[in-house]
Amino acid sequence: MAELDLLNLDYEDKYGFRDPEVYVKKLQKGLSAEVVREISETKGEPEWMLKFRLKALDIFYRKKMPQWGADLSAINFDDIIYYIKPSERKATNWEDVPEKIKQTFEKLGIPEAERKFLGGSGAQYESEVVYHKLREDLEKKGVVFLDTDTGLKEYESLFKQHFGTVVPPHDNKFAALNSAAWSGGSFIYVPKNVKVDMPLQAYFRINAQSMGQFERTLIMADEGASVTYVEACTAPMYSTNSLHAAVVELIAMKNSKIRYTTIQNWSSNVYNLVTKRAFAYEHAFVEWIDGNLGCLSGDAQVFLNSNLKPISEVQAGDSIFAMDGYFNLEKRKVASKKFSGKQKIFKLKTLNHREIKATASHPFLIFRKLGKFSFAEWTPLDKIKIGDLIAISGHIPDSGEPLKITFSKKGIKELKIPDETNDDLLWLMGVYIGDGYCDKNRVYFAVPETDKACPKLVRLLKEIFGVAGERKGVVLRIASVDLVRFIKQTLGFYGTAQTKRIPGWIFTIPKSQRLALLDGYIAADGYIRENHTNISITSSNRQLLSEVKMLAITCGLNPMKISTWTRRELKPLGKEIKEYTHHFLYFGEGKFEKDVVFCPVSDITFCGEEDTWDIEVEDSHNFVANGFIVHNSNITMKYPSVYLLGRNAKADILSVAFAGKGQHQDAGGKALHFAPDTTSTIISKSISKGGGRTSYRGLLHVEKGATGVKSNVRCDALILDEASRSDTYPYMKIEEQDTTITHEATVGKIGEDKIFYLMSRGLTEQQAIAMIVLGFVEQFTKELPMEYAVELNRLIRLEMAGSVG
Amino acid sequence: MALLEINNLKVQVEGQEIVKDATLSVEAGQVAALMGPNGSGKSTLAYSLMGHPKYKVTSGSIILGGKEITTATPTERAKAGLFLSFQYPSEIPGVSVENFLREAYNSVREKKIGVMEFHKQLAENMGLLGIPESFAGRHINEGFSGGEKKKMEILQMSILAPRMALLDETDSGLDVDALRTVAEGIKRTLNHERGVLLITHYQRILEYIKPDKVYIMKSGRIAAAGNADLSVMVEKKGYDWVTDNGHVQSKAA
Repeated sequence: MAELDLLNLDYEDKYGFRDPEVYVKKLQKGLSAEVVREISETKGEPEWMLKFRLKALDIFYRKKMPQWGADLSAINFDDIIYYIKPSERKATNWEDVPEKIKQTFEKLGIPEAERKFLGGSGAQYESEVVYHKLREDLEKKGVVFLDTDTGLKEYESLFKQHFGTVVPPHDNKFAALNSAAWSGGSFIYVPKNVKVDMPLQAYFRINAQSMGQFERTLIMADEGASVTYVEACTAPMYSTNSLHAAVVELIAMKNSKIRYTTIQNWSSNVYNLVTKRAFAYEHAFVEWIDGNLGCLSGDAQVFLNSNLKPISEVQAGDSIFAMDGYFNLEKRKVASKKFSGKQKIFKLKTLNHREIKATASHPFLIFRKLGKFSFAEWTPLDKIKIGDLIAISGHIPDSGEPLKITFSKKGIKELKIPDETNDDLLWLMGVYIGDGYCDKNRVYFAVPETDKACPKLVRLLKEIFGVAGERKGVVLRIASVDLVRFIKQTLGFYGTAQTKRIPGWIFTIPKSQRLALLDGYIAADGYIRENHTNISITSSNRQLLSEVKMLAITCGLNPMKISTWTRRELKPLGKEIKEYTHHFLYFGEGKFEKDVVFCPVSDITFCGEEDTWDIEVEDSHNFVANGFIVHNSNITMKYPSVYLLGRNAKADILSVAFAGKGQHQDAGGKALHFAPDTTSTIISKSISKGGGRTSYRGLLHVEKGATGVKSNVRCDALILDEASRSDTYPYMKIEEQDTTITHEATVGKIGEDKIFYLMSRGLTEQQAIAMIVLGFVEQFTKELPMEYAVELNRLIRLEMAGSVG
Repeated sequence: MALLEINNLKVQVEGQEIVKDATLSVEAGQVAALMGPNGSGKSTLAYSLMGHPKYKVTSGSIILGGKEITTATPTERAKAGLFLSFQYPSEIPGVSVENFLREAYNSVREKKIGVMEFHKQLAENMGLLGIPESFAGRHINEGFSGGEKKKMEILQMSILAPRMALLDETDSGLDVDALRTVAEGIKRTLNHERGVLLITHYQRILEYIKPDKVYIMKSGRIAAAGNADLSVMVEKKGYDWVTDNGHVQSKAA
């Protein structure tokens, strides 16, 4: 993370980096009858719809939150914006879509996809559909594919007849919420015996923060008709929660077929609480194909490591440092952040080895002299010359606070745990970063008795944790499962020598504690070279060193360059060369006394195209890139259901859930058999890793009199590490004896033997794991339109790239 | 210098020593057979040669083409030209034979082959082994019969073209026709640069592929070594005439 160690001064005003949230209409936060009236009025709806909404609002107020499933207590309904109208009118020609929105969708590949694969497509931005198009020949056959608002206007009687019949407002709290505040979605009608040969697609994008998106989709396939519908959803990452509470109603008449495919990749902090239900009449076939890929977003620093710019992890509400008018740094809050797309990037270096990557137009503060006057001027990167004096952060004011420690002490007698961080604890963790490691049961410090740091280490272990280590040669070891848990899970010091990182919270603690950590780390891995007075630190983990460098900058120290030294050795008995790579971080002498100092630019080089981000800081137009904590929380609850209402109706529900760090995917499917000879298949695949959690929750209901029902439920869970979990909650309510039900559930880890088998054919461990995971979800990917399948495979490979080590 | 050299190898599985002392070698251009009764440690030896993490080499060394690979990862061993035909190959649901083999091929060769070019090569090799082309699209070993799995292992061997192949009980569970096809498949891969170690319980496959050397393993030790005649002797007399500590009771063969 080379960009981490920089200061990043921004000045949006002068160079036209404007706030992206420009809307025709944006309501205030919170939901009330007033808000509902305003939404309805803005849309020019008939009176009956307003009444429907208000009644639903009343139900919403009265309904309790679901008491099962994921924890939804953090949702604050008053802190959500219920309606945003992004543009004045809907476009049917891509050129007419507002530029800003067009850019977003083009980045997501919408128009290309339409040209190649789709019979029609729609795109919803915030609350309203901004673009809609249906292939002409389908239109001629009488196919209706509109956004739901237009559907209401143009087909009011058809609309009124079916709207809310499959999912009535009183079904659950979120269905009521949607019924009160709905906006957008798709309205599809396929006439008798018309087969829509190419998928119809809608793309849903939440852009604003604290946004609620409540689209409402109604799909009707008349007798003998068939249609495939694909919906895709994404949102950028914000620190505040967004809410996606859609309602989808499908009506499949006699002999018809509806396939509904969802791919959602909500990047984070989106509560995704969706009610999806289908009615399948005689001989109808309904398929739900549902992919929940919460963690596969470009924001996920923990997976993509060095590919990410740290700015991508900054969130609105975080504190960062900004410079005031007197060249002092002070704490400011981030107001918002936006993704600015892939752009050409340059790397700028200073004489003291600070580096930053930025776009050509990105402004930096440059020291200028004009005759007698000297002043600082914001200058875009492409106007900066080698040798110019550029502002960098010197001493950063101390505004950190100790971290409060929450650690369950239940059943623990032997171990003391402090209530909050202190200098001694941090010193100890510094030594741990340098010389420590854990296995399942023990903590080890490779600190020999002769080491200068040893007495202090022993003393602090005793004082802080009340433990005495046991010496084994050069290693001091402490047998305590709880200490292992404390270090790894509570404090977040994961990894091996190669993969250790500085946890994000370190950047938020007081300077004395940060210095203590550095001091401990230097005691472990630092030394003073011969004929030098300054310190260097050596490590085989370059990433770690660049984080240490960043930390040192926040302490006002003067870290310099990280250099790399490679030693090559012949392996015994052969020509093969083994390489040992070490990295060194040198510290310059002295400390910075001033907050902002100027240093000559030494190099500017082009380094390709990368994702870029903009940050807006409260009361300020500049900021210093600083430490950050990744706060990631994402809950999905989604159980597509099919009511089998006519003889021989058939339902297939296929879902995949992928939960990463901090995520809970609670998903599954429901099949309710109300007619004889109906069949259902529910297949659920889930993958959890990095502490993520997946739950399968399914319902199988067979009504009395529904004879000859066949149902097959299968849940397969794959758990990639010990921190992750998976549960199954299959509910069955069978009131008819003449029923054939098979239920299978498997929970697996990736078997050592499978990995070995693939590795024995030359694949690396990562390739092997990725291949097994891809195979695990193949049943799902093969049902996806081509471009989604390719993208999904790519994401899984990326994801697995970080799963070893 | 032998192509594969195993020196005084000891192997533990979950703390228990299974291979107690194994020394053997295979020259380039040769076929060696490793025979022995059930439970003598043959498969353990095979797994440890390929680097299975559960099979721990506690002493001794494995040298392939002059390079020590005792501590190498399975990936490194495969790239160095070692191949193991598994007695019980794993099933990998959802991964097609073709995609897997192409990725393996690219990985071992460290260059990329075109999709069509690879398919041509795969189809040819499948034809030679009498495997229907439809198997290219099937998932690895999923729902395969015992014989089909063994043919698949030999297919992988012919595609990856390893210098040194370890064939663990490749003949077991095969009917006569399948055995002949598999044996021919193995023979086709042989040339003066390559070696094969045939691990087998029975002499059957050795009638199709005549070994240059025969080793007999008993109770974790190489108990006897000789030429092809030794395997004939085993067929006649069983394994009892070789004592555990390696002395041949009767030399009157």
